[in-house]
Amino acid sequence: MHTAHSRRSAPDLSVRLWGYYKEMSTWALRFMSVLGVYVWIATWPGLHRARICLAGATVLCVTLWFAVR
Amino acid sequence: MFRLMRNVHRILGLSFLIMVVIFAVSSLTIICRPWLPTIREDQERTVAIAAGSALELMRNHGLKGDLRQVHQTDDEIRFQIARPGTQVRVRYSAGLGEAMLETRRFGLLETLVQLHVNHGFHHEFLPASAWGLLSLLSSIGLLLLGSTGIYLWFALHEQRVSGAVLLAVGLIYGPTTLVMSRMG
Repeated sequence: MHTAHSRRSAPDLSVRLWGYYKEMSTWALRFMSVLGVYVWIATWPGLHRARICLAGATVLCVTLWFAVR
Repeated sequence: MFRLMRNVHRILGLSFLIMVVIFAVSSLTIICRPWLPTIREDQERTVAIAAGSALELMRNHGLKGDLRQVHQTDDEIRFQIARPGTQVRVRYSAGLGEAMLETRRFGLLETLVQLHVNHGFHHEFLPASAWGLLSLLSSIGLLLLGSTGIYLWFALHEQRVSGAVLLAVGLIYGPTTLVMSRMG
């Protein structure tokens, strides 16, 4: 069910409807990421700990990316 | 309390932003895969090795990853050394004392998909276990992010009605279709 989506050959209507829900959730996750950053920048970007967390997570992900690649 | 939850929400959101983007982009890649061009690079090379040892290939020939799919016949050993984004198929011939390496290197999107499905801490390749740990923490972070988000929405009185409608639609539609699909 985790990998079901509307474009995968769905055997029946209910699975396809579940797929639409999943697909919409995926798009929502993407928009939430963008909107979350926008709201953070637009309202109060001053929270120091949040900036440290973002910087730390970025460094960690970039380091792991190069370690894997 | 509102201020605390807002700060927790903000810190969680920014800490796991990159992982959430990876999850979102890789999910869309899976959905749109038939329309996306397959970007990959294939290479072949032959190396001389003393025995059909994956360890020797990793130590002396720069191969990195987890050992998979080992098959042995009388004269040949086949296995894969794989990590997210890169797979190397190895065919070692004992008679010739050499190994044929077929390396397949995937593009950015397919690598993100492989990172998405990479899980667990059992990997011989340490960065893959580190990605697994990061995925677990991100999943927990997403659950907490959702919980704090619902609290923040509920605390804003003027948005309770519209939010309640959206929440109700989601809570009814998702589980209903899920149950229907299980019953069908």
